[in-house]
Amino acid sequence: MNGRTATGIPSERDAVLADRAGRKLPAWGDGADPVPARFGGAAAKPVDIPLSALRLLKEILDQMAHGNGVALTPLHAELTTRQAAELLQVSRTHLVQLLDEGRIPCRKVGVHRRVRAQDILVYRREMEFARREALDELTALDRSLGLQ
Amino acid sequence: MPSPTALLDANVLYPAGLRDLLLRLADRYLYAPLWSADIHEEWMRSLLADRRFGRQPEYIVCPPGFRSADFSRQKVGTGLILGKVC
Repeated sequence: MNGRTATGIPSERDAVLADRAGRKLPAWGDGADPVPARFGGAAAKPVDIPLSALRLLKEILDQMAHGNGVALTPLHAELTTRQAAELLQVSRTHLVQLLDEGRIPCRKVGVHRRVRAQDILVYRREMEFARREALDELTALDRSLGLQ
Repeated sequence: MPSPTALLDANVLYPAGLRDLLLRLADRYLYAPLWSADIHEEWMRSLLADRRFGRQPEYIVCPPGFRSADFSRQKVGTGLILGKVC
């Protein structure tokens, strides 16, 4: 499955609505799971929704309130190199290089390469961790040299 | 959503406090930083010329945060390559 669902960039009106709706949603702690929710008036029957899905809904509303579009990608989804580069926020050339070096696993479909969204996210977390360590190291060096 | 790109010239990389702030903002994806090998060499050279040092800074030439994997958004074709100076 390659499905991606996106909100697009929210209009000003939708951003305001999202902000209002997000604020009205309760802070779900370790409350009941699933959460019975009612859509469309008091007469509507409650629908049981998994807590994890509602947390995601709150995140979507928060992002939209800030004017950001949101795209959902299933973790097992296979992405094209273009989509994978977009998700990792690097150029396609750079992504292809990472695949060639075997730093991110991929699968060949004919001449095309497919990358699992999950593998991209794992790689991104590793990079973020390494980068933060490097920046902390740089700050420490600056301090030891009396530059900062 | 694609974040904006900014070119960090030697004059903002040389002052440690400003460099630290700008790199940490980039680390949080507020923008994509770019610099070239020439720019990198310039702020390294300025640092070396700084007489305040009793000893040579050990991170000269290839400081952490500037190694190839640290910021990996390469822009090829513009002449500016990010994070590939060392």
